[in-house]
Amino acid sequence: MNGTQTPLSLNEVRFFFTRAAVGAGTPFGLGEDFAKAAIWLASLGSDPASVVAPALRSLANGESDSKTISRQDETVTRYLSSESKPLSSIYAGPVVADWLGVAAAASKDARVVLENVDQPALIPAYVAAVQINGGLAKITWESTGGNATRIEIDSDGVNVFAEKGQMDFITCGPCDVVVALSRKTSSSDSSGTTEVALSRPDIVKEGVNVGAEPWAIVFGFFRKCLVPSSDKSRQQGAGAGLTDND
Amino acid sequence: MHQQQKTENHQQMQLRPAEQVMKLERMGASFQTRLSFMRQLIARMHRENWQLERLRFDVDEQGYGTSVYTAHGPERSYSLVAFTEHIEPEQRTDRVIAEVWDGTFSLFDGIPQDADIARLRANTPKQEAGRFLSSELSLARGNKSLRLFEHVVASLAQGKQPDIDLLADVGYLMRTTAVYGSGKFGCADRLKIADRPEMAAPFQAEMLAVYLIRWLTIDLVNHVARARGGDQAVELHRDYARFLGIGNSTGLGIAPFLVKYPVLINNWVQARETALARVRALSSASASQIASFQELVEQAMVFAGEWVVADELQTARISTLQRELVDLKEWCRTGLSQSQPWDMLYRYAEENYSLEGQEFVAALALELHGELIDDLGSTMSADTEPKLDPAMTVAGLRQIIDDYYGWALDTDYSKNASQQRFWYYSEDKLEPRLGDRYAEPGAELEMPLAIGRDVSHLRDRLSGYGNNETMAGFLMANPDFRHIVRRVQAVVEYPYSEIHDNLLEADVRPLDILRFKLAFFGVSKFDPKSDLWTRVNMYQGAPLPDEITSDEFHQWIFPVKPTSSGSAGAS
Repeated sequence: MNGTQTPLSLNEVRFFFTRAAVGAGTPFGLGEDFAKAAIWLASLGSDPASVVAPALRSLANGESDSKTISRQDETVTRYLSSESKPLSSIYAGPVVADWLGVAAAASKDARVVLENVDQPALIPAYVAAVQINGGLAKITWESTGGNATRIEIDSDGVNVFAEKGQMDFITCGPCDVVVALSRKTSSSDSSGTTEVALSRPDIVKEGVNVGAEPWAIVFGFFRKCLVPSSDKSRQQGAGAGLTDND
Repeated sequence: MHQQQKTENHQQMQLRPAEQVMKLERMGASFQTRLSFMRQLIARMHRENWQLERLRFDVDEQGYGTSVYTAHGPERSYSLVAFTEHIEPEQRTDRVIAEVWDGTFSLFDGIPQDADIARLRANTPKQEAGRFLSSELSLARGNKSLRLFEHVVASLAQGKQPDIDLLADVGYLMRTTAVYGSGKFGCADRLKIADRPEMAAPFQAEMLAVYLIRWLTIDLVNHVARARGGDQAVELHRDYARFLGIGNSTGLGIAPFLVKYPVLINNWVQARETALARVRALSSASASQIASFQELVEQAMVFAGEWVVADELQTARISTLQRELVDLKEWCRTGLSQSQPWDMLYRYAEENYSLEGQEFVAALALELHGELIDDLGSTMSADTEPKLDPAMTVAGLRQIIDDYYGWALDTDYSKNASQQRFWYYSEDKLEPRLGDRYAEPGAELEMPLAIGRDVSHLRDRLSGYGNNETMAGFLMANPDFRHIVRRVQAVVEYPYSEIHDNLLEADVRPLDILRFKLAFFGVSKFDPKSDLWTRVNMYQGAPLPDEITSDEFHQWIFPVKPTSSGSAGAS
């Protein structure tokens, strides 16, 4: 298929993006979370393929590290790569979301730093999947170009703040990402950023638009999950005959 | 039936446990019930007085062209847009890998305009290679039964009705080879229609598409016969037409589906088992109920007598079922007069009948209790999916495994036979296939259907962790178990979510999985063609479009072959 003629359905995003992550080298369970993250990005009006394609590529190429290790400082937990290269957001996102889920279940405030993450915009997408139960999660980063972005997620939804009010989710990494969970439900920190007006498309009715180039990358990783066909598998591996003129 | 009474009934009778009903052998003996999805659709159309209308029929003398059939519900309309064309016999295959079909179909949300039909004409015949919008709810295709289609047309053109034995032997003019929904190829996601009452039960859009395809096939034989025979031609007798369903060829694609949607499968089974428990809890049966049930059993005996297949194993099972139905008829003379008659009925079947007989009786027991159980139909969908609980401890997860996955831990996965098979998507149009792990390439790309094996490995891995370690910590070090941890956690809330057998076993029978799903759809007359695929019949005996609101044809569970003079034998 070439998914750019019409929007992708959510079911297609789930199917292809899950397996694209697997094709890039992740276990299936991480692929499932990756697809949910992609849908969240789409719900904000982002092209999810554009955001995830660099993360898939850097993971598959070995430019990003899949192994996350943790280090506890006095006031903060740090997650970092086990090697001297960027941390894969596809692996680090679920780790921090899980950590947040544990803190939320215990009704604790907490703060964590993810060091040198390859694609920062994926981190809030994973966090959004966690039930925060009355708390507020703040995810902040300063991109390689120096632009600060802050995303706030609570049970009512999401707000994005960025310098100049412009959201750059595609070329913002690698950089450190700070994730804080508090029991407060409103923000008092503006940090010189302006709220971004999100388009919030109705992706259930309108589908998800993806760019041709990043979609080709996602689809290319998806295809790595398919088993090449042979005459034998074509004849014996599936039901029904090769012709049916009953 | 008041809610309070339902609750009391439910409390009095325990549901059959998952370890009993989710074994492959029993799943492979499933039958449709009044909660099956086709049954729910026809019942709703009858209850709500749906109007069915042929809006367009631009087909040539051979039956090739464009048609539109619309179903008007109380609030919304749905239209089947159909394209029929000539294909060469050597191109006709029921496999996913086919490229052309006799008929291709889209179910449109509303009434399509010319521009919509033009867009669909450019895409629907391409099926998986086409692209669709959220205005389309389902995509399907089908191939004619050449031997029956031509015979019916030739007979009608000559002014005769077709041979009823041949008509009954095949049972359909066209068989669908795929009916897609929920977001496939750009079609609408289930979420778009989930809050519509008429779509609350699972697969209602797909079932409606098939029902309208059945109408089209009957119109096609009448039209082509008229074109060929002129004034001499006659219409297909409506008793014959009603006895025709739509065939379906189903293969391996269903198996991954059942594992992929554990909450959905749980909800199907939970509803059916709750229904059975409610009925079994009834304290008595009235004389009229007993008489109605005895009539139903007699009709079922005729139906089973007409269920003829080539498969030796299924033939033997049908023969056993036929004997058991004779016995059931005898038992009913006194059995249903006892206290808790439906429980006694089920217990008698469980003690004396084959699995096929037991499940047949369970389905029969539900049939006369619509007021008690029909509310469960709308609970069979699932718009949620399992969520990971990262705060759960290793001890907590281990306990769930020990409580719910004994079936998985009993297998020795170090033996080759325990992992002989692997399921995969082929690069040929993503066709699902089943391979031999030790003889074919691609096992490293297998679908995640090895639930038993993966749970067993998870149990082993957990032994290296302290009881109080959280899943967050465990999964950070072991991300390859994320999928199975999420699944295991869900089973507490969704106890019927797992098939209690090893789908990698050397002698696994995918056919059992196919039958289980198809029974929930409401199909009948399972006709296994191998361990990998089956043909079935959908809507055989269902009311015709102009009968949908009539009480006369409302009960159609056991259609019986019409007599050769053209009158239906029963139902």
